Amino acid sequence: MIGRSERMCSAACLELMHAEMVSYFLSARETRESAQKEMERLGFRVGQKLAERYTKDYGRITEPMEVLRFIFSDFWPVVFSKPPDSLTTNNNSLYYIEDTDFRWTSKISVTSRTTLEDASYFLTFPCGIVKGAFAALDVDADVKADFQETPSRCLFTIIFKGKAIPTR
Amino acid sequence: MINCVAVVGKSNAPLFLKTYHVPETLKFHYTVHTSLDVVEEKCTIRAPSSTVSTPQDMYLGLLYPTEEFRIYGYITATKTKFIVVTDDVDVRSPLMEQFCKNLHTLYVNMVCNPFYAIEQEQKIESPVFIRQVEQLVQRFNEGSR
Repeated sequence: MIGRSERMCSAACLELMHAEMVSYFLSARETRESAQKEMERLGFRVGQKLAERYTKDYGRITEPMEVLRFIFSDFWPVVFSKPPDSLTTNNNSLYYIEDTDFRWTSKISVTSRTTLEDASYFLTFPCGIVKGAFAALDVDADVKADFQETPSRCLFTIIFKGKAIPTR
Repeated sequence: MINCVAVVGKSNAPLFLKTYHVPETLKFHYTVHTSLDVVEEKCTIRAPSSTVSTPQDMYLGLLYPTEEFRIYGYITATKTKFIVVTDDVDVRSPLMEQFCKNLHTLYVNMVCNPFYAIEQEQKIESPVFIRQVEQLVQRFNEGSR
């Protein structure tokens, strides 16, 4: 485990700040696409710096498979407050991380005035973080996220670019 | 005594190089540059015990000795390299490893400086980092005397 128990920060504060950030970008940018792009870029930078930090006591990881394992079992639990539920793959370059209670979006409830699509903007920044962490560890991957029916169930799709990774 | 500490970025761009107690800096640029080949070589060799992929040690140990100096290397998971040049003949390896680990901590803290753009592989100009590295070197040099 990367984080030490004495180093806790308020998760509520972080989530509320993230919510404010999303609503700020959606209102300040001309199109939703540009807001999304911007948020992903911010997440990417955060992810890069977090990866630099969290690999410090982990050791040197070289293989993309090891990087994926690090992200799944060490990086994710610390960044998103709980371990993800499953890691699956369908072929050589697609991996799915499922989190059935994704803390950053678990409090979202879609009302009659909003749609699941409105809620999906809350996944852009986390996607950027994961993508940035992969990039910092020298793995070229694209990360996308979708809700599975409700905003607390999230499926992150990791698409490895470049050379295919052999499955074990 | 440590004479030179260098930080080299992911794509081998020099991010930081400081010399201590030596008149000239230029030849250290050369030394550090040469050592990167050795770092690369060492990185391709995996520990024989690890048939199952496990995290590797970041500390690479002695890279190579020259007539005057011994050059030590350390590489992070994000492929940032630390090169340490010392004129001590017998450095206790755990001490050097500890030095590199401390340097890594300083680097990680420096990266969290919002004014540092990590993706552009900016030169490290943070006065705090420079000062802390200097203190680290000083402590090491006093300890090894």
